[in-house]
Amino acid sequence: MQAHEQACAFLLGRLHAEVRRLRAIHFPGHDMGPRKWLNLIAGKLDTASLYLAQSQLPGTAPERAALLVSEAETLGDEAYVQLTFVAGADSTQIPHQVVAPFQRWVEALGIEQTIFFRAEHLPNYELEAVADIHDDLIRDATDSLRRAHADISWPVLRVSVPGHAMGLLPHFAVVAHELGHAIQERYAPDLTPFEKDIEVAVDAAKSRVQSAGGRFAVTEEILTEEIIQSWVNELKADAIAHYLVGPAVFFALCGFLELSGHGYGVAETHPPSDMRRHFLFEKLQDRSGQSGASFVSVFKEKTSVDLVEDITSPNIERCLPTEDLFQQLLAGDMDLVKAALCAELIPAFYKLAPTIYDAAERNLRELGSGLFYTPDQYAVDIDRHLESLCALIPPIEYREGASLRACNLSSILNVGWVALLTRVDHFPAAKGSVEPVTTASRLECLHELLLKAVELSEARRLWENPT
Amino acid sequence: MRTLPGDLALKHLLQNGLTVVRGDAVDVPRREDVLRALVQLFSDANRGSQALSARRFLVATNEAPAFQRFVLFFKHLDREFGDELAQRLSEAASVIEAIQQGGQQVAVDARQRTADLISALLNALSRESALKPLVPQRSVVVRNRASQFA
Repeated sequence: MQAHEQACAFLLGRLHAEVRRLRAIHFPGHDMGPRKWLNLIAGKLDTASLYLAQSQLPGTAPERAALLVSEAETLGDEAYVQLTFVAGADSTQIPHQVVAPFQRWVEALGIEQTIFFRAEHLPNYELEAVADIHDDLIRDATDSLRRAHADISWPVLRVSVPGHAMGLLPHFAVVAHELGHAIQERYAPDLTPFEKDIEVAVDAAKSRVQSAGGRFAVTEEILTEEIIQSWVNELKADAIAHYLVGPAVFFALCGFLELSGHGYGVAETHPPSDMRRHFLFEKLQDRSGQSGASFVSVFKEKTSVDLVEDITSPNIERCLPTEDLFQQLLAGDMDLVKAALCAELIPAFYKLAPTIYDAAERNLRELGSGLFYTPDQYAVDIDRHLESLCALIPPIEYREGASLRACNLSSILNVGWVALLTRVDHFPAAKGSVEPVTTASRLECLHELLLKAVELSEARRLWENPT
Repeated sequence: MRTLPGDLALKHLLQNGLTVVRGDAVDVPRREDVLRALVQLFSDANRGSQALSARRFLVATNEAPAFQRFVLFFKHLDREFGDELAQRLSEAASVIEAIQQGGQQVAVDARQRTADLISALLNALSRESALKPLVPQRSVVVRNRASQFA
């Protein structure tokens, strides 16, 4: 073996060992997603090893052998980078209690793709979709690679949540938004009535760009498509999260945007935070349910506190008029074309957003009405659990006739947010603690209680349904 | 958006696709796999291209795969083919579909132009891979720039 072949064999051997080590790790919720991903990488490494072996066969032409080694190196490099994808998915990183309830959301939403959850030390919630990279089309792909590829439902989805100090359980309601992204392509709201508005906005952006001496051709039209797609998808995900989790996602998403930057939030990837908050809040005021109550009215009735639009996000910047925002974005170093498009598209999106929410609601109804978190359920959850929670009893279960039923994650998150926003001062100090009782220590206590609620409600569910 | 490397499959697909379009021998199961994937790639890219040229601004939203596949060709071949790219994609989509269905009716020059298009994409991918910069030395930029005034 020549030196470069030895180096390749050494790298492949180490990668195989790394995959074996990771396969032995416990992934919370008995999550199969990371294992399927690791199988794919192992298959890729098998194929790389096959290439290396083929290069050694007697009679292999030198050019062919060089190509095989080079492609084995490429596969090794791909495998090495793809291994980073499972980082943070083990139970040392992500709170193990939350994974099983997240998986239940996945099932309820009918998400069939291979998915897993992980935490990273970043102020970011994110769903990444890895499109099918067709590893099965690699020449002479081994059976292990073909099997692993076929065992995955593409695209692979990875949900990232912030880890460590920013891994705040109430904020994990934002995961519902990320799962909304997982189903965003399953339904297409009819936006044709707004095509004219979009065209007007794009033409206005084009005029701005051209009058500033810029170019607006196919590359810029591709960018336009990407911005529209991203913004529509953000609103779709917000809508799904709202219907699934109710006020908790409004508090969590806006609270998270406040904690992690509180700017305008507008970019090619996201519409303005102020707009997203506006539509979420509008839905909280909706009284079209059976009882005629809205989330806002229930909150007021049960807590005597007004639920206002900026309750968790007073410092999010209000959206400016088009011209002012365009100038602000340019002054903030945004590219001319992006600034023009972002500023001009906003009015069109204010018009089309309700259509996206309606389509999301219809899509969820097709999956089953049990998915909706309603104002009536909100009232019941608050009545059942709020006072108990303030007495340090976590919302684990409730009585229904002669049975005890486990609380679901949406209920726990919503009661948690009501306590967090209106009752923190009611939380007693820990017995025997010599530390002064601070707001932070009370919130930590609430956080622990909610984590315990998620964990023990899972235990209750397993007890009731051991299969 | 992060990019995970995975271009070897595309490279092998295009190499084998080139062989098939030129009429050279490829073993039957592989030929079927390659043609199935090529038909998908080119017909999607062609659909994305046509929708974009019709100024339909919801193409990416409603037809994400078609849009992404067009962008793959546009990104790598716009410089070489310019305004002709749309027509070449349309022709290639028809040629590959015809080959999949038997291929007797495919004109030789259309086959050649399709092979040229595949070859151009392969070359562009190889060039991109060869020119990929090494990971640069990184420095940490702190958002709070107060230190610059100290």
